[in-house]
Amino acid sequence: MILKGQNIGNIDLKRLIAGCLAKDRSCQKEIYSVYSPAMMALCMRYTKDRQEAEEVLQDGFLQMYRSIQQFKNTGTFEGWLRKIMINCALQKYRRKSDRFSTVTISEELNYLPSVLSVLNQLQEKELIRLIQSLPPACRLVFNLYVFEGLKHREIAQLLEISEGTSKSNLFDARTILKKQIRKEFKIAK
Amino acid sequence: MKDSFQNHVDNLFREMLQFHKKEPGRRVWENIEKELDKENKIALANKSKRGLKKISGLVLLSFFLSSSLLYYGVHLVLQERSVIAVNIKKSGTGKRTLKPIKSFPNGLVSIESNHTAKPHFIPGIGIEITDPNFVFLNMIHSPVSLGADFIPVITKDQVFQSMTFPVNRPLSLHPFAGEHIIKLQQPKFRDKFSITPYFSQEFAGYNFTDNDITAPNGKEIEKAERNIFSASVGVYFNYKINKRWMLQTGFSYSWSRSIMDSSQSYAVMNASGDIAFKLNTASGFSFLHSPPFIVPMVGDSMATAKTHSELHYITVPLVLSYRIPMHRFTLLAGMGMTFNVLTHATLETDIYGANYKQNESEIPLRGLKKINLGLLIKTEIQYPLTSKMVVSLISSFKNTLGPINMNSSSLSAYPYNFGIGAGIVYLF
Repeated sequence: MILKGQNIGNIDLKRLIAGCLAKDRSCQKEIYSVYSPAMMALCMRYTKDRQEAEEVLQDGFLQMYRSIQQFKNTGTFEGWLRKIMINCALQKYRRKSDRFSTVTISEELNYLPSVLSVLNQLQEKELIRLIQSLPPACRLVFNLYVFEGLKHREIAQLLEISEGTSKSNLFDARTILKKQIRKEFKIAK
Repeated sequence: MKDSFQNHVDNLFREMLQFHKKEPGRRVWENIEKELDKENKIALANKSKRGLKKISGLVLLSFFLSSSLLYYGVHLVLQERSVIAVNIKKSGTGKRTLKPIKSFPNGLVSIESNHTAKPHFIPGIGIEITDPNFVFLNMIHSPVSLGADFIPVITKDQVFQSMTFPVNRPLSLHPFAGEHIIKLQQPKFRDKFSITPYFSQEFAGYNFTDNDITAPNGKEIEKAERNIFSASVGVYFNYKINKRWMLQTGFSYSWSRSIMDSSQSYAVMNASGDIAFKLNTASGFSFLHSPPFIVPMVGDSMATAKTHSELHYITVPLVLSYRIPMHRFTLLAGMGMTFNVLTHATLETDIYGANYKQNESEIPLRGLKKINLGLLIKTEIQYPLTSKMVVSLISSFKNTLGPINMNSSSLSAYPYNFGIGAGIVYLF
């Protein structure tokens, strides 16, 4: 039995995947236990709140169980599962009508050292909350750019937007983050 | 400075959250489990369906092989034309529409699932879709008759094997159909010939032209005489030229009885030089017997009571009819000629004077042509009763093309009649 959130070796992973292929419920649960905390954190970043994150997580795991026979050992299982989760998050936003509403930010950035110093002191929970406070489009682009390391061209392709829009969304995301920090921590301009 | 800030923010988020883990709520796994259970149930059901389909396929295949062989045997014994008819029953409506068949270039036939073809029929295997998801296959071993609108009339006792299979499966379940089982033979008499015995009540009248102004004119006779009963009984032999056209002939026996009011007859010299009382009717004239003890002189007159006259004809019609299918009914509209042969023409009356009365019966009517031609326009409405019997309501209009009287007659009569009757069409 593998403990929750524990890293697993190749042998265990193969056993679990084989069990999932055979629709073995204990294997399905084990694989969930191992990967759900990391995937939950990922879903939290892509969604506006915990409830939505759990919905995406649920959809992602179900999708993984349904299509586990498609997993080839060319990459890591976690990487494959991450892609599934991100796709589920994207699908969720695509279903929404205001999925890529633009945010107009007129304020000029002032990169004050005080903001940076506050950022350095923030905990993971607060960082996630900051990301969740972003508009959906900005949040997606920010996540894909910062965490997945995608280029604007790739993001544009994935989200079916222009490269310029992707850049704009990223810029807006950063601006909003800064505004939020300034507002919440009462930092003067 | 701007770039460094951006990089710093990005790096900070990345470093802090890259390996961040967050425990999901317990209900997430519970929901996943529920979904997985549901999917497993569906998968199990699908697996069972697939198994059933496989078993059904095997049963179906064995059925087709056996039934095909059986049909082939019946086919050989009965020497019938093969039939493929797709009979679709729309659920709920109760309506049945015959659907298509396809002929292969080599004269073999196969069933196709194309429902756009026009209703068509070839008489052995019927497919009936009784459910949107299933096709019901009937194999028919006896002749299937044409109904009123080309729909074969298939009775239960004609179906000797039947089974059901999914409608969405390509109808290639009869793999040897084209090669061994269903072969179209040249049509025999079947569908081409039929007979229609019928009876028709007629309402007759005359059109007149006067040839002798000294004799009673047509108007007077028309006023005095009226038809009291007219009818025909006969048989039509029907030959279907093609799907639409039909040639009809046959024979009929018709009789007509008229009554004439009291009138005067005058003594005239007949062709043999004898003097006799001549009684004119619409359809001819008669020489009456003289009352006893009276030697008639030309110009003498004698009163007659009401006079009954009868004409009997044998008629041979020749009609070209056009068939118009209307759902279960078929309308036939035809026009043609009749050849009418006079077989019997008599009258019966009473003559009377001041102190006598004498009955005159079976007095031959004279001055009538033995043969005349007529125009016939008729319509039939047919409705199938069984596979071989069709009931037919017949209406007709007949009018002679020339006078029925000889040229020497003082009066030319052109009889006409409207007939309404019924017949039974027996399909060979």
